Amino acid sequence: MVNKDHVVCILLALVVIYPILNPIGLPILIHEDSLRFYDEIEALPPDSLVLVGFDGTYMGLPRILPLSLAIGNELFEKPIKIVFISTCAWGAEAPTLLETMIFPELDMQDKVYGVDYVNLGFYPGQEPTIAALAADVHSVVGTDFHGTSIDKLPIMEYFKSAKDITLFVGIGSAGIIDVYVRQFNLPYGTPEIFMVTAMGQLKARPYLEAGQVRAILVDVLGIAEYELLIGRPGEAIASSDVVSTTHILLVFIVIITNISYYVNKYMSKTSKKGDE
Amino acid sequence: MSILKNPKIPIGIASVTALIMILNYFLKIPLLPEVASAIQNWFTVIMTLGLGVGFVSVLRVHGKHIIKRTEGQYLYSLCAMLAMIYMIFTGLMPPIGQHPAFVFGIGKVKYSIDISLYALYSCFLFIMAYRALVVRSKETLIIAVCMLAMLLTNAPIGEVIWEGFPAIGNWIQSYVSGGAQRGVIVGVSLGIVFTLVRLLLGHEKVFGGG
Repeated sequence: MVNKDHVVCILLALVVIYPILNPIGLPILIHEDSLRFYDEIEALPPDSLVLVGFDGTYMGLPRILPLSLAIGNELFEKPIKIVFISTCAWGAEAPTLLETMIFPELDMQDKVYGVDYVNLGFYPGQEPTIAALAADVHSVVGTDFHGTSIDKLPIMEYFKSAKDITLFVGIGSAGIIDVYVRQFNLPYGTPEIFMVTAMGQLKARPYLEAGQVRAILVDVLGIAEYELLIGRPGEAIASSDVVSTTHILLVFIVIITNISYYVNKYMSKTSKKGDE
Repeated sequence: MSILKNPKIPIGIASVTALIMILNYFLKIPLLPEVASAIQNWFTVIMTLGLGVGFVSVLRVHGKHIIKRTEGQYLYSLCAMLAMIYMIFTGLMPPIGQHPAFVFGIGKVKYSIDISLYALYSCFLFIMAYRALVVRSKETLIIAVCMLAMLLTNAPIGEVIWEGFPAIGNWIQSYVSGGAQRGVIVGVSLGIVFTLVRLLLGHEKVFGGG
């Protein structure tokens, strides 16, 4: 007897592998969410200070890597200051991920570490820590990720509190979107944009519709749209075919399972009637 | 009884701390922002120390299994302990967080395990979905229809098959799920306010051992 679960897993593997080897090239339409996200970054004036809440994990790398490269390259192209920090409970490994897998892949232009960008590292505690950072960064942060005192980093002269932030970009930190809204947006009016997962958008939408979050980029499809918008096709565009094939497979499996359930039910009813 | 074991002390500290933070948020009182800022910084220090407590706790729990040679467990405990000690020591070796041994541990070993687990998770999700979405009742029918609409909204092919799928999916997101989500946010916020009131009145005793 064939195990149904095994068949499902084999089919899943096939619909993931096939489009990677033979891209279908389904059209990707630009949605309003992605366009707003793109506009927020493009509208940054010179000398802006962008705080990137980077809380990517190695597990989430298939999503985080293409997005970080797309946003990172776009930010590093502009004459702005960029500060990276990790504050989520799951963000302990994020600074290492940033240093080892993201920064080496980015086109840093002529940006200088400590002057134009900095990686502050991981700060545990979530909401109280974020509140403390928003009020006075220098009272919480003593050194950057490399152990350099922030007094020796010229970029930190521009970043004293949440009032100095031109835009907050959340990558992997949408799980605490409510915390950032409470501690950054409500008291200081900090504009915030987030990358969210398909599931995470349900939590983010009320804040988006209330105007407390300016824009969200939804999952791999949103990242693919963003890659198209900035004219840098990357891994997300390649992955969007896989999203289609896996979703269609699940729809088919659910329909077939329901048909077989009702057919079996009908058959057992008719056989019972025949026995009587 | 030692004065340090008196549950009134942590309850009192929590009440006073909460009062300071609330007053600082709503009122402009001289010196209060400095006090509130100091309290927030203490919290960050406490949380950082908490990681150390976690280290000691893991040592205690798994150390016991290793010493007692608990059958079916002690080898796993040994692996967990060795992995933890390896990551801590290599993580602290200069350059901090970037030593090749640390990067190997996190970038090669942990990354591979994480990605494998994530891939397995997608299999479980598929199996769970087709088992759970057999329409046996009206409620399951509603959930199944919503799920199918959302699947086709979130995939580029959905819009190619029929332009109406994104409209249905967006309607579900904005009105059905969005409404429920707002309800959850309001409920959680009210819960936080009530917990705060209990804290201020000294009725919240769980953390004080009450």
